[in-house]
Amino acid sequence: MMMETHFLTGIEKDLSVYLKPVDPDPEFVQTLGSRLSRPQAVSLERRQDGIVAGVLVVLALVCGAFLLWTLRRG
Amino acid sequence: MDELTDAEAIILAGKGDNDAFSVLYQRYVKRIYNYIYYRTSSPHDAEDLTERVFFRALNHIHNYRNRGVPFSAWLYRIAHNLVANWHRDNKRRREVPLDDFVYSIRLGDHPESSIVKRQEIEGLLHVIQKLPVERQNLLILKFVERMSNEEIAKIMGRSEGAIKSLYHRTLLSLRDDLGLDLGGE
Repeated sequence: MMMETHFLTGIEKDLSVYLKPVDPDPEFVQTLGSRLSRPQAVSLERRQDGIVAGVLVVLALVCGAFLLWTLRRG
Repeated sequence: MDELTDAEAIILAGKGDNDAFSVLYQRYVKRIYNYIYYRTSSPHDAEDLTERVFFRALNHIHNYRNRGVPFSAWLYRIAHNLVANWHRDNKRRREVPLDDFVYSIRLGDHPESSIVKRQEIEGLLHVIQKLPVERQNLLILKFVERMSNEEIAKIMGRSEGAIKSLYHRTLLSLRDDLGLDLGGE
């Protein structure tokens, strides 16, 4: 039991030595902060993504339906 | 603005006040970055995912409801989901060597011992990354974010006792995975 406690304490010590907080790149933090304060750009980006995804889904459904129809006829 | 409490900043940000959201961003960006950094082992992906976390938070903060858990728990939940997607979409990245990651964490101070240290850190990080996600989260919150068991319990939605128990089991698991044999000693 004492041996186990000893090893667990050792592991805890290693974890506290090696798992240190790291600092993100200050330029990244500043740039992202600026972009977050201009939310218009974000919503525009999301809307475009939604349209592209929607078109792709519709295309896939049409292709799938056409493929099924062709196979059934054959 | 900096004197705002989280609750006040959340209400203002939910009404479209960007300065209030900036307060929350400045308060939590480092923590969220660290969480993602240790879950992905990649500074580049940590930046990318941190960015997505905060944009998602910005877009949904008007839906945020205070249910007695810290605001950070909500951000960690978003980060957790994005990291899970990242792992699912990039399974092969788990095989990426930890070299750069290890270098950026600890090495450099003592060149003569760096090789040994490097192996030790690589071994430990490798084992940690093979732990179940819940245990990885616990270790990151405890050692990187320096949170108490009580804070971790709130973030992870568990009781403090459950966190203590999970922590003990995680240490035992690490001991076994690191190959520390106690039986014959």
